[in-house]
Amino acid sequence: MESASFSKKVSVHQTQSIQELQEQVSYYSGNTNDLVMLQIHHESIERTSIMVYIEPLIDSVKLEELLEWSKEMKWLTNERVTSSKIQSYDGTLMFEQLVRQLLEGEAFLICMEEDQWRIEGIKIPKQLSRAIEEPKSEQIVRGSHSGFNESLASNIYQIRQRLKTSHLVIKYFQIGKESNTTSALIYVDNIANLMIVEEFIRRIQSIDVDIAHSVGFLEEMLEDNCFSPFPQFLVTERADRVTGNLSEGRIAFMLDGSPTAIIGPANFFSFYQSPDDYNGRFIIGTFYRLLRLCSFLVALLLPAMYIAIISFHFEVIPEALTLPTKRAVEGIPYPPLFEALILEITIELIREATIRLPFPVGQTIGVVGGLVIGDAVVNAGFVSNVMVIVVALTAISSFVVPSIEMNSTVRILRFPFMLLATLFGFYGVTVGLTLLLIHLIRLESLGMPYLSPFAPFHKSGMRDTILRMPSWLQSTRPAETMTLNKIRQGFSKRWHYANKK
Amino acid sequence: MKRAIFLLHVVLIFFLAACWDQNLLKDTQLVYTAGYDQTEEGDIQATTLAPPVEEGGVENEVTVTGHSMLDTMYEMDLRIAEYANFSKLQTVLIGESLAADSVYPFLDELYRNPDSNLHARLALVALPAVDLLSSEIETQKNKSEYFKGILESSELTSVIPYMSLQEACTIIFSPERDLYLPYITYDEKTKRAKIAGLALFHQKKFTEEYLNTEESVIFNILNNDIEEVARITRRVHEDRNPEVENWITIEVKDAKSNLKVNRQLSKLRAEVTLEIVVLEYGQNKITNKKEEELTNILSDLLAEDIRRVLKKLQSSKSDALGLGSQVASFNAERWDEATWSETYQQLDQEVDVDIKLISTGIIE
Amino acid sequence: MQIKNEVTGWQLFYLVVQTQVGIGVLSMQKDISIVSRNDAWISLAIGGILIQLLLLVFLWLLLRAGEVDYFILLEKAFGQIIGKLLAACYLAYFIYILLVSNLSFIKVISEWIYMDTPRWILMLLFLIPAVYCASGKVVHIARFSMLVSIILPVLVMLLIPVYSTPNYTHFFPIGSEGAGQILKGLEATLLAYIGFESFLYFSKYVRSNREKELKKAAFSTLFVTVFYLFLLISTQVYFHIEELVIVPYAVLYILKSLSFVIVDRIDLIFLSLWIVIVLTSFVNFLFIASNESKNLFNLKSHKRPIIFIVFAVFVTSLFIKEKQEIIGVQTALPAVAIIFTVILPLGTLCFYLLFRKEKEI
Repeated sequence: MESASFSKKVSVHQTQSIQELQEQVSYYSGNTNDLVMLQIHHESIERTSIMVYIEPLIDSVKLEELLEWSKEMKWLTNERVTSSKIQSYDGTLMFEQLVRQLLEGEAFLICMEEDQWRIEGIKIPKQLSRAIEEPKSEQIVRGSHSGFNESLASNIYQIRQRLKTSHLVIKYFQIGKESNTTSALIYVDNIANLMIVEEFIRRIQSIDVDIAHSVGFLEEMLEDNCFSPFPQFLVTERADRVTGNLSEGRIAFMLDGSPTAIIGPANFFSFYQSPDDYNGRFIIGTFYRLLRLCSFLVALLLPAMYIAIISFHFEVIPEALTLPTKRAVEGIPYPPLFEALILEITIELIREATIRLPFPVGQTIGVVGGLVIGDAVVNAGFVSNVMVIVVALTAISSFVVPSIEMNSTVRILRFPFMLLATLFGFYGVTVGLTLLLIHLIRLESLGMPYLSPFAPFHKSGMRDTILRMPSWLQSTRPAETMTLNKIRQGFSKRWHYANKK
Repeated sequence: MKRAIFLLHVVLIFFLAACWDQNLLKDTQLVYTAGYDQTEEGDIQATTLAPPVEEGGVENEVTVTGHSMLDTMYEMDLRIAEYANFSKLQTVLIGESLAADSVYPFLDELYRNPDSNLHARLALVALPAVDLLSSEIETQKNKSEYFKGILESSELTSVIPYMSLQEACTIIFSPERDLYLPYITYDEKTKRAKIAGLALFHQKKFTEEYLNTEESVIFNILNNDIEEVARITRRVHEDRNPEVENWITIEVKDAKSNLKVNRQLSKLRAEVTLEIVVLEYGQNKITNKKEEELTNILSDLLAEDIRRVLKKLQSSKSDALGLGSQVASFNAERWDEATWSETYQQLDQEVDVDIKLISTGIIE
Repeated sequence: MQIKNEVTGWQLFYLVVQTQVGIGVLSMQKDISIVSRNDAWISLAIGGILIQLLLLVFLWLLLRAGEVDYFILLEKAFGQIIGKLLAACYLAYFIYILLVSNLSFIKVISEWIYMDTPRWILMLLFLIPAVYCASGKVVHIARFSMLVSIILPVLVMLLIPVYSTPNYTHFFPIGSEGAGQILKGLEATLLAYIGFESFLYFSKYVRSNREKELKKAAFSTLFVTVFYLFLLISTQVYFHIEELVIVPYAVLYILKSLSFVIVDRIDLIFLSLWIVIVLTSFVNFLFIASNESKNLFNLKSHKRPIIFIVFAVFVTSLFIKEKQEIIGVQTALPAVAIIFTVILPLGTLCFYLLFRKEKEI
């Protein structure tokens, strides 16, 4: 420090003059240049006060308005005013605290009055956030089209808007030693199992990072088994999905600056549910849900099964199909595994290439990649056309999953299966499948079994996992959330039976 | 470091392991039809037909001789560019020379090998199998699939029963039943193979007798083994002109036959109930009276046929209908495996045919 | 959050079912038919009923003995030293069962599909999932057993085409072999039913609502008996007895000869699925054995004994290769099984109850 007289002061009242105060504030905020300290002279009362704020963080128009307003009020009532935005502090305010408030978007008006520091904090953070729009990764056909954005306050607003209950609890936690990011744990306290809430809080509190980048980054610290390929929290950007899960007894966790919420305890089948299921008719919902679950098996096993059949057990191909298959694979130079890998990697490349490109270009790449390469590679005789069918079908099936996390899990998992199939045929695939099944049975999300309602088996759980029964029949909450408040609703179809009488 | 090298070895071993049981479809020659004969020295002569790899190509035909079935396969592999594979075998044709003594020893390999296809069809060929397979055949399909085709189409019209390797095996192993196989000949005129009927075996040995196609339909009815279509054409009148008017073609919709050997093992009673539909009858106008007349004539004719078929079975000692197993199961104290074929030949017949005409088609 | 280490009645039911239904199902038909010929199904039914009755006796005794580990019961009944000795014998018996199960499984799969793959690879592929599964908690094993039971109805459905052309004469004349042969067939039957005694070992994990839940599980053998009877009758209507006695894996042979429109050779697919059923049986025994040795040697977790047991099974299996050797290993099983599954448990339970009564008085 250039000033020889400078010494570190802890709280505001330890400083004697405006000058000194300015130095201290500047020191505590790391001599940053965007810290604005305006000296304000009141002509009438011969007094200097300073205004301190970090410029980019505050809304300067509002600041002007507020100052004007408070001046008028003072003129009217001759008293200091406080409002929801203006708060006064006394001289014991710590500089550290002051700087933290500054970083939250608070402006300080400080003056010396009768040898006492008078401090007024004006909360006017600049609130710039994206408009509420439909999340790109979770588009649906019918139902609400609003999604979260980067502002925690706006996200909580959306949730509160949908769940106007006094039981909705929001708990804030500051995460990150440096970033001081606000995070929120959201649950409905008369539905959620408080043991699970406590467990979650325990896990949040043990997080010790410098910067909390995003929810996905924290997810790995919160989940039960981060070595598992399966996501253990449901990730969503949709407010209706969050409220739906909250009302089933799950808890959500959000981070300021991230439009995503993670929801737990999740189970395997919740990744295969989409809000669309509930907005349409239940028969159609059930059909698509079953289709999605089948697509899981197809995406996971089809290439492996094909490789196993082609290179080990072609006996299982029915009589009429044997010759066409044989003709297709005749003269392919590579072993089936490489053949499949060539195509799988091509498809992954196309996906990775298109995902970041603007829509029209992306589509072109998709056409070029899919049609042109696919056709050429068969004509060149590198790959058999049956393999193209298999891999394309697999790729489509893997994108059916409504959740991106599960989708990538499935796409990664099929490679070990292909390898097992190449080495040991059906036996290898079964061994892989068994290992996977045991892993899923042992996996837990927030201590709750992941494969519920299949393992452990709950008959009632089938109503909203593989099936989607009419909503008036789903009168209990799912068992895997361990909710104590099991009854969700009464009998809404009573009118029907009343009519009959 | 040492651990890393060890792990690397383990991983590499798994990668190297890729080929123990690997059986790539592209490296195999799928044999669809195989014919077997016995040479005079007692060796096996195998003729195999594999479908062409390219559409419209020529099928792959190989004839080799070996001491055992697998020996012939070994000889084959010496001559073809790929591995011969019998797991998609559709038809096994055996020459009469193979059935002269006992068929089982020749078929053993097909039952023992886990790869083999047990629902491949089995048939007996009147001429050496090699001659049939190498003779010119005019067909839309390629020759390797042709033999399955003619057997299958004849099964649909109930001329022959479906006789797979597995069904044959069960019969071969039953001491109380005798084997019967579809019988194929070669028709020089049309340059095609032809189903000649049903070859009769005594135990595992061909009796040199066979039921012709007309009789084998009757046999299938007696054996309760008819498919959807079973057509019978008979001459029911003598005096009409043109000749076509004398004939009737009926289709058997449902047949129930009940064969019983009495407890004294002296009489064989066959009760057959048929539900028929008239398909073609040149005379036209089937009135109630006519209907009665027709069913009476047909009953008599079919009873006569049944008697003839049973006589033929008895005279050739072939218990293809499994009467022995009926006796062994329900009349066990009188069952004697050694004397059964004698007893069987001595059985008196009593045939009772009941015909129900259920429809005459869309005109009367 | 800790999951409670307890199982429900239905889970116990499936645990016992899955312990019983193992590799024996594929070879049972032949083994029984060799002795009781066309009356094999009578042997099987009698065996099933006897074992079901035995289970009910176990249930009656267990409900009186209270919530105790069977192996601790051994000590309580016979004193520390004899109890420990018996527990060690049990451990040896379990390893023996695991060995037999491993050997017969490897035999089937190497005869049926993987003729050229080295046996040690096949074994490793079988043992690795087994170790992984058995190292979990009892709830995990119970859930696994319950989940894979879906495969049992699949087998039943696959066998239904057999009844399109059934040959019921194969059963007649009923009882022709005489009571002697039928009773002799019980020995082979017992082999198929081994695993029912796991009811004893797993019952200690049933904690809440004990009496009702245990009663549910006690009828597991009834289910297994009906299932086995269906399999045996299906093979008997399909094969002539002379053929049945030379076909070691009758069910597989039937599946091999059936043809469906979408797939051929379902035996290959089915055998691959069946691996899981064999695995559950293996895992359940492995879990029991490792938990017992945990008690026996006062260990903290049951994971280390699993490794030792599996290693022992693996190495021993490597040296037993020839067909006659494998059969030789199995021959002692019926006699040993009777001692360990019938005589000893009954003795222990009765002894314990009597002993305790005296003490209370």
